[in-house]
Amino acid sequence: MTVILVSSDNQDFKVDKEVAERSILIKNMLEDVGESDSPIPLPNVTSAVLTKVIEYCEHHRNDPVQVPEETDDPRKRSNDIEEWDMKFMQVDQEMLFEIILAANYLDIKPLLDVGCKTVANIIKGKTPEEIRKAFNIVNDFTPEEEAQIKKENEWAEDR
Amino acid sequence: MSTNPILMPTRAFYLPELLDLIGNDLNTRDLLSCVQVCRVWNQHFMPTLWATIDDKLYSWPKILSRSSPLASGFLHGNNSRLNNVFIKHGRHIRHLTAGWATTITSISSAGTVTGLESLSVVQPSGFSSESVFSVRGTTPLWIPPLLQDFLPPTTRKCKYRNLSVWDFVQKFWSLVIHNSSLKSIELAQECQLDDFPIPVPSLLKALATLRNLTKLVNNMAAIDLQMHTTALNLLRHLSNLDQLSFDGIWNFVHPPPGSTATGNGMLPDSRATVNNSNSSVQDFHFVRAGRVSSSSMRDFIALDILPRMPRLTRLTLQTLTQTAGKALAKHCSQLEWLQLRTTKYDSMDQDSITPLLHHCSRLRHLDAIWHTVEANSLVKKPVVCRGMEVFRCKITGIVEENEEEEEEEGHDNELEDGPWENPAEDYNSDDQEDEDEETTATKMQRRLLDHHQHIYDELGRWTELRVLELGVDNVDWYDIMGSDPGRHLVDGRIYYNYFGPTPNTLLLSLESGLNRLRTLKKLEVIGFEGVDHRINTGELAWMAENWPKLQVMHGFQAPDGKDEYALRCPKVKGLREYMQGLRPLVRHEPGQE
Repeated sequence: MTVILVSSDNQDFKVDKEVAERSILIKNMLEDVGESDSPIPLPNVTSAVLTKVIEYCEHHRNDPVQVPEETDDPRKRSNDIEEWDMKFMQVDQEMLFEIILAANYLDIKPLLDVGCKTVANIIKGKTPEEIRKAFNIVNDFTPEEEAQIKKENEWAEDR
Repeated sequence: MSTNPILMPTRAFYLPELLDLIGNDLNTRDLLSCVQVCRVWNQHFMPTLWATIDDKLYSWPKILSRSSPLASGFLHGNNSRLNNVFIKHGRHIRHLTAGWATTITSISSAGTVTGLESLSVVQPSGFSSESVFSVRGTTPLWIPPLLQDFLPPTTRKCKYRNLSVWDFVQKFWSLVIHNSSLKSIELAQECQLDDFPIPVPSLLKALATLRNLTKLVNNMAAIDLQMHTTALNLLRHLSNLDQLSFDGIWNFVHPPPGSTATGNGMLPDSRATVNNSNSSVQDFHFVRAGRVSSSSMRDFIALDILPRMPRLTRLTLQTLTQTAGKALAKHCSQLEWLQLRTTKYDSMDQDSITPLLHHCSRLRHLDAIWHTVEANSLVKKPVVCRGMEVFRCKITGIVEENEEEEEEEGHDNELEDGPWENPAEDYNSDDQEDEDEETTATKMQRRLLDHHQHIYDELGRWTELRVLELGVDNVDWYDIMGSDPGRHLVDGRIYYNYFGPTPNTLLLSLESGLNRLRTLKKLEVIGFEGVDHRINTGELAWMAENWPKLQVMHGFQAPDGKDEYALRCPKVKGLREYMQGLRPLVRHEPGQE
């Protein structure tokens, strides 16, 4: 059985139901609507992004449904991105954030996790200035504020 | 890097859940960078950065040693900067690990820390007590005991301690009381306080405000549970507690003197009043550090504590008495995990574990290498715990059983022999006796073999087993390290303070049925009493072939890493090398006691 997804720029994507249901949003929609072959509009996702998202769902179509597990220390996980996912995430930053936003909107938890981990990996080991550069963020602190933040959090510096 | 700087990915910054997810993957150092990036990021990452505070880590020790004045005035010293920081950011703290008195006092004084989920008091690492005292002149937390002066300053107790200590204790409890969100309190530190009884009612009152508390670990003797009633009251007051742990509580073992519980200002209690209130404790850890327990303590555990814990799944004790074993079997059928921290110097009841094997069907982790299970009990009554994963326990009684039988046989023979001694048949008596002895010996041997194989069949049903240890080498290696190791020559082998093989243990030989353990395909660790377990090259070859997941062998390796073993018995070294030839990846480690 296939489902038709419509991107924000009005492109149709025909995908297997099984693949589309990797998105909890779509899964719930299909369950609510019941048997129906009317296309599903996704006004928040462009065709470029939807292509990527479908590519991900195709690859992971047979993955077991993720059980929300209690991680002992959330700060310990990370880096454990599968090779295929890593390659999949080698996109420019705009696309990376678009994918994360789409994963969030479509409720595809594993994709969201992988996206966030990829961003975290970009941040890791960088100085504040390097992070700003990496993400084109403007420093909106006054020098005084900057000094104060440094002072108040000096405990977190390595000994 | 983005190819188009105009399309800044700022949209994502406004989704807090995304930033939270990203924050979960960052360590403290990276979070520190993040809060300095821009205002939006500062706002989002600050709570994550401050959620976990451990004053042993990062620059805390440096800051605290700088801002903590001498012990006498450490509360009123110049901590204003530290205080201000806590006033500003304390509300984010969820998990606090403190090794410095200053941390507790500053945080408590700030008054902003009200969302704590866990509070641990630990010994600061990296500082010996001497260096803290003489060089830095500061007071680490383990000098002022936490609770001993949890009393009004006017009471007589205070003349023993200075006011700052009293103040500190008040600050600590103030912090506890203002954080009803606390799920876990750990006083994980050893501190002997025999002289200073703690007023139990105040303690219980404070703890009773913590409706969310599920874990209480007291390894500090600071909460002085000197009365049985205290423990029972704790169980009653902290109804959500599912993890209760005590180490090194000296006074806990004394029975109430003349049962004057109420006279001591304790909450009125009798066994009857708490009978109906079963606790929800799932994890109970009670190990005394250092002092031999009284029998009344053991009885108390067996008769009063364990029966009140029907939900118990994990238990750690020093030893398991027969009474306690029976109590567990009767009241704690959910038990999954049992660790007994017995040493070979402890006296222990024989066979106290057996009832668990017959009643606790969920038991899957049994760590009790100095305890024994009676071989007969494995075969005579059904063993219900089919999911056993870790079994560290000796199986004994095999030869003993046989000796009994031998006696019986002998007795029988005597009876039967009666008629044979009839002079009328005297002509045949010599031959007859020889033949008789022979058949008896064969019969006995077959019976012994049957017995072994029955036991192996039982063990073979534990197909989930990952760890099977049936003994540890009985040499006292600590004595070897000592000045003059005593040498003993037994059967041509040199022993050092050798305790000798455990009598009547299961033979780990192929003839006695070891090959019936071929079903244990998940086995990763095998432990035994060195060569005393009658292991030889044939057995090793069999193990190498039949246990594909085997990673560790305990039995052929001395704890000091040196090859004292070779001195003790060259055969051990030979066998180890033989095994290394067959399975080079199997590690040989000293048996863990």
